[in-house]
Amino acid sequence: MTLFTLHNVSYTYLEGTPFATEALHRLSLSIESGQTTALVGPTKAGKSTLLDLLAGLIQPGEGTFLFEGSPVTDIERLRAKVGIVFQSPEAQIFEETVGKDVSFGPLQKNISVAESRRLVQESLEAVGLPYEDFRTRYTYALSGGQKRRVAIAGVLAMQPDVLLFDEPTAGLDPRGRRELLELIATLKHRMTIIYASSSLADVAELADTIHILDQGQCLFSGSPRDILARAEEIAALDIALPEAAQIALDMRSVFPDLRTDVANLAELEDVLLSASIPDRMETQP
Amino acid sequence: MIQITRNITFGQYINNGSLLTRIDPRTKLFCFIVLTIVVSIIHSFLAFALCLLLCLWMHRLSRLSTAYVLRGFKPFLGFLAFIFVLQTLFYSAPAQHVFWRWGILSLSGEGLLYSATILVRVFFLYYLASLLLFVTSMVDFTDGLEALLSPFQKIGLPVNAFIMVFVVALKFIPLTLAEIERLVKAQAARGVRFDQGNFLQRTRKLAPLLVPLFLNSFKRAEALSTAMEARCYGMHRGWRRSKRRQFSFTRVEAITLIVVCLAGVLALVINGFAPV
Amino acid sequence: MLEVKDVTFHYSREERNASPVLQQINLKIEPGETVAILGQNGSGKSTLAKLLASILRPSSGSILVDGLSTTAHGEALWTIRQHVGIVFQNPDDQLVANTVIDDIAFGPENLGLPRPEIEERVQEALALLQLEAYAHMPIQDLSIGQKQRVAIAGVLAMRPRYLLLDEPTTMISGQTARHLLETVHRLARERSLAVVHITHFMHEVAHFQRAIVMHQGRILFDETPAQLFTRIEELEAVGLDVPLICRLGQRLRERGLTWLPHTLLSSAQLKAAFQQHLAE
Repeated sequence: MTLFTLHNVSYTYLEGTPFATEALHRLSLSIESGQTTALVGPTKAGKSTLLDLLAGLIQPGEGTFLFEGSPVTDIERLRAKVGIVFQSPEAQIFEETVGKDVSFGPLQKNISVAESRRLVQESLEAVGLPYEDFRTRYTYALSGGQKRRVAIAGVLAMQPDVLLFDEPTAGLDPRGRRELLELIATLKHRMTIIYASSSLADVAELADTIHILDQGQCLFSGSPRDILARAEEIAALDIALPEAAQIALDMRSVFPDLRTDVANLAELEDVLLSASIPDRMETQP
Repeated sequence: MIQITRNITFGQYINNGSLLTRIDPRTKLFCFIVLTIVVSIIHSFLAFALCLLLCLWMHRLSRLSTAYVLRGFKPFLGFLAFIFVLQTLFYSAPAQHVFWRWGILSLSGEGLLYSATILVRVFFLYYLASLLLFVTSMVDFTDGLEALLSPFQKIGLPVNAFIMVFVVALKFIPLTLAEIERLVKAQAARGVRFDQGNFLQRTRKLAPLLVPLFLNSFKRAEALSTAMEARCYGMHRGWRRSKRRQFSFTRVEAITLIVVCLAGVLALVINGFAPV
Repeated sequence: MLEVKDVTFHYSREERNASPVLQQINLKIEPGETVAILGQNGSGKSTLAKLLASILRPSSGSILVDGLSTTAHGEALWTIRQHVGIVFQNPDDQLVANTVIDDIAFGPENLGLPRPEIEERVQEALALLQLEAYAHMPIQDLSIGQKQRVAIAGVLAMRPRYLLLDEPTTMISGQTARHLLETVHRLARERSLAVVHITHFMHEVAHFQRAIVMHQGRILFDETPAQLFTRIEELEAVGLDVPLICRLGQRLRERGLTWLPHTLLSSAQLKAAFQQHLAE
């Protein structure tokens, strides 16, 4: 089912003032449910604005925006179904203890205390923070990575069908990044995931569909392979490529027709070997 | 959700290249002070009329859209009307032309005149302040202020430090507004409905924003002060900053000063001699 | 020379019982050297940078900047701060003024320099970072990458001998980050500036003369990137990734391309190796 459809959507910040800036310019794309979709673009491409729109926090200035096939009449329904994890979410934690912060969302919906406790427990377990251990811990005493997980648990506790992530690996070191991507991978089968990033590296393995955005527009879309094949265009947009694709792109100055849609080291090896020893018939990846 | 700066037209620098934007900021600030003092003293309508002429002339030189400037008044009009009514009703000085009285409240000619004078003054002060900020960039404003206050620095008052605080605070305003917007969105995403409830309830909903807002602001402040110290900013014995910025005082500035001061003196004189 | 002698550091008195943030660090950095310091978050690398910049004081041991101790006060501290410049992750947390030129002038103004010299240094810094076109622009109109260049320019205007960069590319990605590092290397060469680059990205390290790996407050390795990149398992054990290019080189050699150099540091090297081989 098509979850979101956008047609010629535009959005301007500070409209009507001399400081108006257009964040989305006649943007058109559609997002399917049950999949993991990535929105990739350089800074100021409009990714955050688009996520705000999908989460029901802003409304399009112009154009059509459909949720589950029809225009959004009940914004609360959209907000209830779509959860969003903002960039550096640990900056938005305001409760003293982990338990209190994660239960904030459910309690806003007037759920019973018992039910909310169950949700908090499930959410904390889902992000890898054991409930009994972390429930009473003080939020300010946690590490950055733990705080980030608490923030994600807080959103999961609202039981959304769709989960939006805005650059979730920003500021994390390689291990932290790997762990977070693993966490998101475990959530994939439970809900639709939409992931905004300025780097293709995070999403090339995770996403089913990738949309490339720039200056408020959707330039092109496709599967990770289709997108990686267009590595040259993407690098020109100042989007970071996965290491393997970047190396393949760099090597085009030696082998002009080298394939760049390489997903990992093994494929890159094969591609380089077959290019360097053309008489040896290697099977294409 | 919250686009806070959307309806504020007061105090935004508009760089249209007009003469007023190019005049040295010390001159502009000084003229502003002179005119503010004059307007606060005079009560004769003839004197106000002269000031109005001066303002019209400055407005023409600024090449600003009148509609845009006056738009800044809109939020105030209700408040001003309220003040007008209150001042008139509670005018307690002895009056000759009293139309109506009830206890301490009264409606008199003198009262109306007095309130009208106050209103006119407010109008002038608001116009002068917003014109100053429209034609002076924040950099110019703070540099000019620092230059004008430098005699006080020489007698030991921490003027430079105060100006630095002001500059950094100005820099933080858009950052803090953006932060508030982010926090409001994060809360809305967690189910808080900011548009429901009465005034008290809505205000209470903002309370959870304060903790992360203050925490983040303090962190920022600490990081920035560390960075400033790393670039050798700091009070130690005998420390003095120099300035890259140089001011120019040309014929234009001289003429501006002369015109404004003359107009001010003239207004005061008229005020002294005129009956009303 | 930057000298770190037996330095241990705790953040507060209460933490004295817990394991220290830095333990028994010994390090020397010569003028003109380019050094990368690598480590996971929490390895102590940022703390070390702050100690070198005299923002923090060691709990024990000493740090000498060209012979001056960082626990000094008054004039000596000011000299140290002039000689050691530091650039942080977030440009919004280091830029003070409204316009680019005013911010670059901030450092020289703090030094109380006469106006002509301030102007000279500002113009020099603008040229070094190719910011001439942006001189009078308000900083808030710039992109993050441009703001970082302004931050670096502001530090260079103080004519430091040592430039510390504390994870400067965290908020930048792709080409912009690459350009920033190229600029830094160029500056190191042109100005004989010692550069200490703190990061957790292995792929940024290839062009540095020295790579230091920190883990749990100690220095594990201090060698050239070429030597470091052979330690694949050891690096993974401390949460760092060896750049893909190294593993690619290894794998290609195993699969028959034995003419490739033993350790590949960058795709530029790979290109050069292929071009040379094809020419033969």
